[in-house]
Amino acid sequence: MEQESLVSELQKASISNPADISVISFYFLVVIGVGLWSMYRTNRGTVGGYFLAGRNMVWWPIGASLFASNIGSGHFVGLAGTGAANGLAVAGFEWNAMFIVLLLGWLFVPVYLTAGVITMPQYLKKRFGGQRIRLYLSILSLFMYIFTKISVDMFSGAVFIQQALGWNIYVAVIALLIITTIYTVTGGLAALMYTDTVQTFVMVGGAFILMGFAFNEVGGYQGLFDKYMNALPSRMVSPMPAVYNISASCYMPREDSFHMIRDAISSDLPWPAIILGLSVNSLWYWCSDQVIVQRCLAGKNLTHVKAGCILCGYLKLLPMFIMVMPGMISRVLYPDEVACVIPEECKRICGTEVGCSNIAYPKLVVSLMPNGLRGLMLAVMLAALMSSLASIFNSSGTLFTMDIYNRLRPQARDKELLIVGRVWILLLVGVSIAWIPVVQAAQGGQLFDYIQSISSYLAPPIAAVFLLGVFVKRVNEQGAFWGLVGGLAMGMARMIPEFIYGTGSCLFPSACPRLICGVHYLYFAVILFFTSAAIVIGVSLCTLPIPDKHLHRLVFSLRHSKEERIDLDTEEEEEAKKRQAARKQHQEQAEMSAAKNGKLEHGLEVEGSKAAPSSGWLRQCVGWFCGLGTGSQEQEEPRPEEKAEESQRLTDITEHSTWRAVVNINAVIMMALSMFLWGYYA
Amino acid sequence: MNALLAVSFFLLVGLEPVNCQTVQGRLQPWLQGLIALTVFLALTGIVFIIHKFWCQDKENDPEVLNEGNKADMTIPNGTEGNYSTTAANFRCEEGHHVYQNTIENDCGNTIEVLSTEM
Repeated sequence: MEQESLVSELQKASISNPADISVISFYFLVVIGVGLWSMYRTNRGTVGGYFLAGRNMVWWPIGASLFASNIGSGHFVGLAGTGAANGLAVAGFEWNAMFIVLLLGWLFVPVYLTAGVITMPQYLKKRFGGQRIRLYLSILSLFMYIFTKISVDMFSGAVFIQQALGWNIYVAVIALLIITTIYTVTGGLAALMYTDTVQTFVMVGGAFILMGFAFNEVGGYQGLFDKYMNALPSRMVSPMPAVYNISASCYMPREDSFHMIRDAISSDLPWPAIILGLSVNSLWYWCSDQVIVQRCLAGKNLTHVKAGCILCGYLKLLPMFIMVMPGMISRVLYPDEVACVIPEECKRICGTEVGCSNIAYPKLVVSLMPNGLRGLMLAVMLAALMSSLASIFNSSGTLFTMDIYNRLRPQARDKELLIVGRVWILLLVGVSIAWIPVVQAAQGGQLFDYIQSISSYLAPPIAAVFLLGVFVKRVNEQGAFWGLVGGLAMGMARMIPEFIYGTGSCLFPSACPRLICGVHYLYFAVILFFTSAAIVIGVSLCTLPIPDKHLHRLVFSLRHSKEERIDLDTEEEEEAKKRQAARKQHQEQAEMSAAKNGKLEHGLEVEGSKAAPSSGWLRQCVGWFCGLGTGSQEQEEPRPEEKAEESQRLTDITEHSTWRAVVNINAVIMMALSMFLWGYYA
Repeated sequence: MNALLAVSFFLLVGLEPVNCQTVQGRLQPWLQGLIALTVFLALTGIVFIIHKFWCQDKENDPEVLNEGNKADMTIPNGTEGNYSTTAANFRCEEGHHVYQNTIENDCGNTIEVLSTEM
């Protein structure tokens, strides 16, 4: 019902002129072209090729891909919306990550590389041993992908498409998903990373153009800062004073809108929370989450990974200027819509009662941009959406196949794993579509808060376990597991009441008791982090340590160790052996039967070769598309020496001294720039 | 004593109440930025100096690949990369035909000595 009214209202703004359409179709051609080119170039037939891009990436695709998989359409809608509602401080989310991404490149990736792992749960398994941590982490990560990443990105992308094209939200989502799945399912990580690079160019370029138009309209940089404080909606008095009153704080821009460092107790983003709490969340997002780390593991060598992280850091400077500030401008230009405060009014404008700040960015696009450029902006949103969705799909496919499916069916072959990874992606898409209505209902108001609060309740224990696991040798399996479980219990104790009571809005605060919901979610993240860390250390100290022979090259202090490691995950090796034995037996059987029916086989072969071209043409085509074609089938299993040599290359973290100095200096320059900006907008 | 109390009392009474409440005007944004930058660079400098003085074995840093060094020196079999290959470190006091390969690890780590009977 509400969607229909929305659609009819926005129909005027739909993109239907030839200029827009040609821009969009050109964009799709480029993306598909790059995707096909990289598919053609890379080997997707093996697990390493599909999931890790053959470990051959140079720095610029790494950096661009980190940025593109981080910035989704949720950022465009969420950052601009929160910026419109609360001012500059939300950019702190991005600028905090600049430092954490360096931590990733300098401290975490060397350990992950020498450990020689593909997924993060796999790392934990090698580090601590045992099955339960690995299983727990894979399930929790998949859960978080669905609830914080996929559904939010799809929701915000759909909001945008709805505004621009006037389509139904579900039609829009399904159309988007079809395009995305095509190149995720088929391409593998290499295709993803190259298309991500293209997407980054499109995103940044398009967003810069919009920023130019917006600043031009509002009267320059100074104009924004002069006018923002007066951006009030024209209707501010409650139509039903008997039912509710509207206090001034609900429609006035915040006093501290232009500051990033805000009061520690009374403000919406207190400064200790921005510095500490955000770092905890970012630590999970950037340093221990599959989506990001997988991109770094695909790097050619450690220097390239570090350079990629620096590039990503520089790109993370931009969201303040290309997302948050345009959002604020949108409030200045369209205060009646973006800053609406009367629930009925808001419902009429954007379909949610709590507020319409989420439409800040789409509103700018549809009303400011001329024909042609509007199409470009749609392409930008699609780029953001598709790149981050595709990354999540790929990574969750990796998680599922490597950590869950492989355990259920240890005798599975590479080919089977690749197919299962793709089927899983399709399944995931279905679940995420089903979750969209919940996102829509739960927090239509401020999308970014929703993402951040959910991750604040679930992520800190994971961050604590990874941080301690990588840097403290003494931590063992029992400590890590009980830390994770205790942390989850605490997080749930906060998250469930909050969902039951609802987050409330400015006009109707939720009835949640202060003891549970009163603590700011980022403060809660800090508390949760330190509590879980205390549990991890406490339990570890009470139980036996893991001897060094199991930890070589798995913890930071032993990363250069050359001694042989006795892996704790011997179980897995046994499984692999069993798998190989089963395969061999199967082969022998086949040979035996072939020898028996030699004559019959021969006769069949003649017939088969005649029949094959007619029946197998389509199959072959699909097979090539999915990278499962003849090439991979004919490929032999590499010999043990080759394998050893290969793994030697992959786990090598030596760097050339000159280039090492260059990336170090660059990192310092980037941090200095970031510090200056923090100070400037403090 | 009484006089001092009286003076301070009159001074406090005489001052306008606002004098105690004024919020200092914020600094210019670029000045704040500059201060943050300076503080950061100073900290980085300190960390750099500490690192320089505490870990002087830069040449043998296993994370760094030094080119050209390997070709010049004789390297005993199986000791490439991590082992320092100068003759002085190489000979062991235990006996004429006993050699030791010192492994020099990254900063802060202990130096292990492996003896090889030849």
